[in-house]
Amino acid sequence: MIITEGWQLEKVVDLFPETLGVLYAIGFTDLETPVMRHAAKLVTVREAAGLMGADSSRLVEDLNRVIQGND
Amino acid sequence: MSKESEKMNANGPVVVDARWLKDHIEDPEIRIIDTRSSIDYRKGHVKNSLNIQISDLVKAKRGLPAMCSSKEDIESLLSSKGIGNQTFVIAYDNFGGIFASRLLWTLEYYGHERIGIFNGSIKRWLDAGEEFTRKIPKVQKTDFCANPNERRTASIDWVLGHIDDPKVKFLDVRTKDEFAGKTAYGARGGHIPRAVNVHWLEAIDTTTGAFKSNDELKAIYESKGITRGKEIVTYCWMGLRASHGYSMLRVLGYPFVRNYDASWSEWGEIESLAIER
Repeated sequence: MIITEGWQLEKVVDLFPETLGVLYAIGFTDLETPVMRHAAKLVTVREAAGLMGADSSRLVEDLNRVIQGND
Repeated sequence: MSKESEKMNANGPVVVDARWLKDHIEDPEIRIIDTRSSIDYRKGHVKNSLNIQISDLVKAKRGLPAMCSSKEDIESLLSSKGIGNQTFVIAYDNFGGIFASRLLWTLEYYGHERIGIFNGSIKRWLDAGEEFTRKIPKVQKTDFCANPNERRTASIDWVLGHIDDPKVKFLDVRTKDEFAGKTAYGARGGHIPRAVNVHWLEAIDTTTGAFKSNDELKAIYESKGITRGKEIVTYCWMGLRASHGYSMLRVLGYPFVRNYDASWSEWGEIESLAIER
């Protein structure tokens, strides 16, 4: 399975909690909390990167690297 | 509120950047509020800030998941945080201002219009070379007196009463798919008749995470007929994203803006109400 820019952020962290560290690094420091989980439902990976002024292609790469165990 | 802050705040809420926040961090007339989770707040926060979580601002009511907390609850909450009726409040979060905006709207609804919002997510504070602290400031309890301003909110009855009013524009800040009914959270998908769609994230410059400039924001909203002379009603699914749209319009100086707090979590569930797709 490959994470793409169009995935909801909530889906990413639900399916792959090991990605929390990557998201923490770009500024999402509390995605474990219920409120932030709700907020994660509202944005895609691309939009999440934009919220933090991060590069979305790089974020997708980093997320996929983690879920493929290459981190 | 200092004279400088008062002048800044004369035309509505203000947007502050890291430099401004740093310069005013010790100002006793300013209360900085961290609207992230308490867990995140305890890990580290802007010096002299106090924490108000979203769950402090909303309550489930009438089967609706996130409605504005009561006057008494808000008075008690703000008083406990040392916010008086003259205090200038600066709110920040780590989600593009969406939570800070909810505080902004709540304060304006309860008659407190001395407020500013940090420009984007608070990560930008750290990116500017500033630091967090774990020290929680002690503040003196105040006696905040709320004065609800019904012109800042829209009930379902108000919306129905103005559904054909040409002076009123409904601003749906959900995604295009939610607006079109392709994605539905709840019983029905679609939007309120005559509503226009500007996704809340269009207000964010995705290269920096900051809000777009006032000129850019104005152009985006005006292209959809959202103009200063109209009465604007923002809505989303349950009033969170709508608060962001509300904030952006208020920052632009739009005087007549309401938040339909119940939003689609109410409208979408009532079969007898008209929808468009």
